[in-house]
Amino acid sequence: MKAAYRVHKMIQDIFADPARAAAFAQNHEPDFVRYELTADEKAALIDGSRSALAALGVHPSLQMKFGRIRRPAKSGGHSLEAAYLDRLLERV
Amino acid sequence: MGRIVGGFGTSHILFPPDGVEEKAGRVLDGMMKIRTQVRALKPDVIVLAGSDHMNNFNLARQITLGVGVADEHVPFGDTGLPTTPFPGHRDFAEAFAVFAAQRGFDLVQVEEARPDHGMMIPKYIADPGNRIPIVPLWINAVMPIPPSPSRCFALGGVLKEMVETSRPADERVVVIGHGGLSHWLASAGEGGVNEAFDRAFIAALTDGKPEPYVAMSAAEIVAAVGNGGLEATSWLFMAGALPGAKGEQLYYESIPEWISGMGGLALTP
Repeated sequence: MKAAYRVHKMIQDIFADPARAAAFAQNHEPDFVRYELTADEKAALIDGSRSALAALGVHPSLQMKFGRIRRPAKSGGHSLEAAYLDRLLERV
Repeated sequence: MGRIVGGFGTSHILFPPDGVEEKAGRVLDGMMKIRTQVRALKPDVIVLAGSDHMNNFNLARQITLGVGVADEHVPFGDTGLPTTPFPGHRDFAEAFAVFAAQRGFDLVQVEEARPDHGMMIPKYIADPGNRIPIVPLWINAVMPIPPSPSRCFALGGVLKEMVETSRPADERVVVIGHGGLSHWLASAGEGGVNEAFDRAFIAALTDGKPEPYVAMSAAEIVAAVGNGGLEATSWLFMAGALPGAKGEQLYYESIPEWISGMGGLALTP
């Protein structure tokens, strides 16, 4: 099963716009309305667990991006360690 | 004629070293071996092949194979990497698109894209100073329908033919295929690493015998090494550009904490 395109589009659009992502993290309902999500789709996204998103058919990469929208400070959108960057960029 | 003077495969992500400090250190050391070898090869251009992570090509625009033709590329800037522009190589990239079309590969010519960490970590491994022109080759490994392993390998052969027949004399080309190795991203099996497959894959490529992997379907690769492991097709593109070449493993670490088998190799023509 693959999620409806409007679900994927909502995640893509919000992820691409930090201001919208911040607004969504505070109040998701306006976007749910804008993208005409069904009750089942809303429930899965509010749950936000891997199993709920997978059951909805959200693309794995968009699951990752949705996690960053919901929990920007805690989830996968990590920054490389300074020590890595120093060597990668040959700063040391 | 030009020459492909070296090929490399490497993973293209790093995660925090917490709890896996020694493995992380060996991975980074291995990546630095690639840097040392690339420098010694003195390339005029680097072809950097791998996937985008839905930061440029997503469900709104899905491409199978695309070549970055811009004079200059601006990084996406994810994972804290700089957004400093770096040089492309329009003449080489457009020539590759034309040559590939004559060989049955219709590459999307990408003028405006912002390479994400997948391209940028290998790019900085190879050329931290933005001195060597880069030609990105995007190989879809994220969305249906990815190119088959055999097609990726064959496209590598097309690159080799172009370099050797159509490029300026003495042009030196390095090819880097990146991504992988085994990892399951947000899918059943996440956290697993298929170390046996990863090591056998590296051994086959460094022994100049990639054929068993070239013969696999994309679905078979996903079944063996996960949806993220499909990025092995980029390594096969690289191997296709250096047929029969042998080489050496530069690093391999199974790191379940990073949900990845992390590997790197070098091939010498």
